[in-house]
Amino acid sequence: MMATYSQNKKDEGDASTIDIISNLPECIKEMILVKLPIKEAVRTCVLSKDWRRTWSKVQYLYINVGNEGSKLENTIKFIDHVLNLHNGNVTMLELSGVKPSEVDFERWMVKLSRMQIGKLILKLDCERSPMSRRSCQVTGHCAMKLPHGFSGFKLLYSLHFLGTCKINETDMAKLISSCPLLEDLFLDGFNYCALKIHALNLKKIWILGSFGDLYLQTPKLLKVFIAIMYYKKKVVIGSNLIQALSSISHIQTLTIYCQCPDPLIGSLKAKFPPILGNLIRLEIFLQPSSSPQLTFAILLFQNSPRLQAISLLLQPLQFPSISSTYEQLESSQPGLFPSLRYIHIKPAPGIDCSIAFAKFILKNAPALERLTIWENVQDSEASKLRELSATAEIVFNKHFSISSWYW
Amino acid sequence: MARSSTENMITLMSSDGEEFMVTEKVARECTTIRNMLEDDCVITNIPLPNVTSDILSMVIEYCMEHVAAAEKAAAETAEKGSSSAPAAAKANKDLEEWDKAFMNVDVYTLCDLILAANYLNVSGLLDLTIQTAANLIKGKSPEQIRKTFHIQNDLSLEEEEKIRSQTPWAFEKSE
Repeated sequence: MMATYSQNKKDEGDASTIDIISNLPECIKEMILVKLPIKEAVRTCVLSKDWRRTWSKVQYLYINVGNEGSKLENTIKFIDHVLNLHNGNVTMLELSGVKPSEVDFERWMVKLSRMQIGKLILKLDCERSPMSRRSCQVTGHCAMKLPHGFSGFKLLYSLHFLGTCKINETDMAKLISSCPLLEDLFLDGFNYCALKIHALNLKKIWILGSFGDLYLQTPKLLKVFIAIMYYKKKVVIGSNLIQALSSISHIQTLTIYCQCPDPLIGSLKAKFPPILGNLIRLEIFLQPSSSPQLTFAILLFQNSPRLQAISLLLQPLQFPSISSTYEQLESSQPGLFPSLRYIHIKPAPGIDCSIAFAKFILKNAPALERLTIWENVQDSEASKLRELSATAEIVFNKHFSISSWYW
Repeated sequence: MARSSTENMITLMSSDGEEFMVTEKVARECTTIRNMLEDDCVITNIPLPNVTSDILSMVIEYCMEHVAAAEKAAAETAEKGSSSAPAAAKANKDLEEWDKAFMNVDVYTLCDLILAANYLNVSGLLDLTIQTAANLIKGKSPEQIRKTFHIQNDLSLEEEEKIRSQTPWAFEKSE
């Protein structure tokens, strides 16, 4: 029978001699250290010989040293120390809250690529050196390089890249293609002329930023989130969005947000993509009075015959309207949503067309099970809507929870 | 509390031979036991040679409280059709308060609970106890940590100085 500490205490009467925590299994001590800020975890190395190396084997490393008031150079040295001394596999590593120079960044990438990391989150900011400031003026953020001879992350399955410190577009393409197991990619705030993603195992992608062209070589992709932002720097944004969608026509979930209609105008001149035959779930941010956006949405609906769930986020128009009419909706083919079962409609404040959309969908979705509108609707309007469908449940919800939207 | 008569009861036996009758639902909070039940569904008596009676009774107390909270939330949802956000938030807060009071134990009991939660695989209790242990370390100097957990420092003064000098950035005052 295993004697327990609390028993020992009772048996011996004097607890002060029993070292309780050092005798816990190493894996449990590591679990405790993971819950500490990284500096405090490293500091446990002086507790006793037992604790000397415990921190260096933790499998979750959250290196967030942003708000500790240390000098930048000391913080950089501390991170070097952690990356040098850690040994063993790393399930997840987050490096955030620090502003590396280009030299620091390259050195860290070499060290990180030698660690066996599964999931990597980089959330770094620009160091204000004259050199990086120059590159910032061109691209809107720093453009770091990968070190010479960088060999990639052999075990990495998830990469999240955020913050203002970015890699230039050529090296980003190289970084992604040198992670053979990559399944999950999250890129935030990038400003590229072209974004090339070659990742044969990629299943999930989340891109938010401004990019001219998007090239996707991702045969296993299932979930896609694309948000095309409009920055002051003049780049022709998302000009090949339609072609990009054609190259991933097997996807199951798509979220698409365009801050301005430009890319859609460009896209609509192209031939619309082949059928998105596996698409089950679509989330679309729509400015209802923008004709290109509406056309784009209708084309997406038409080309997605298996669509089961739609989330429609109605946005106020931020750019001059080209036409503001629902004739487009009415003139589209009937029975537009043959498989649709669920739809959410969430209008931004001041948008008053959610009822019009709801009516349109109820008329054209024979298999609809539930329609949810995230706003207050007058009782008379509500009962009119209910008359339109014998089978679909219609729900009005005041409290919008973002968790019901994002996957 | 009224229990439906069809509910299976399971007997858990501690290392010191004490028996605890619990509902199957409560026992299933322990993933280790859940797996045993799924492998062999007629099992009703489970010996737990790694857990003493005083620690096992605490683990059961924790599981019962959390099962009851989950049942209450489910009943409210069923009654009203949907859960009201403020009521759910209050229930969560109550349970957090209960957890906090439950963790008012000495470090020996805490370490035993960690071992039991790890062995029985009660993820909520393991998180709670690990976090509590981390909170006892957080913000303390190495000397204070040693005192809290009765850690014998077997490093010589020179050795400790050497380790500190290798990583001065970890020890600098950050306040």
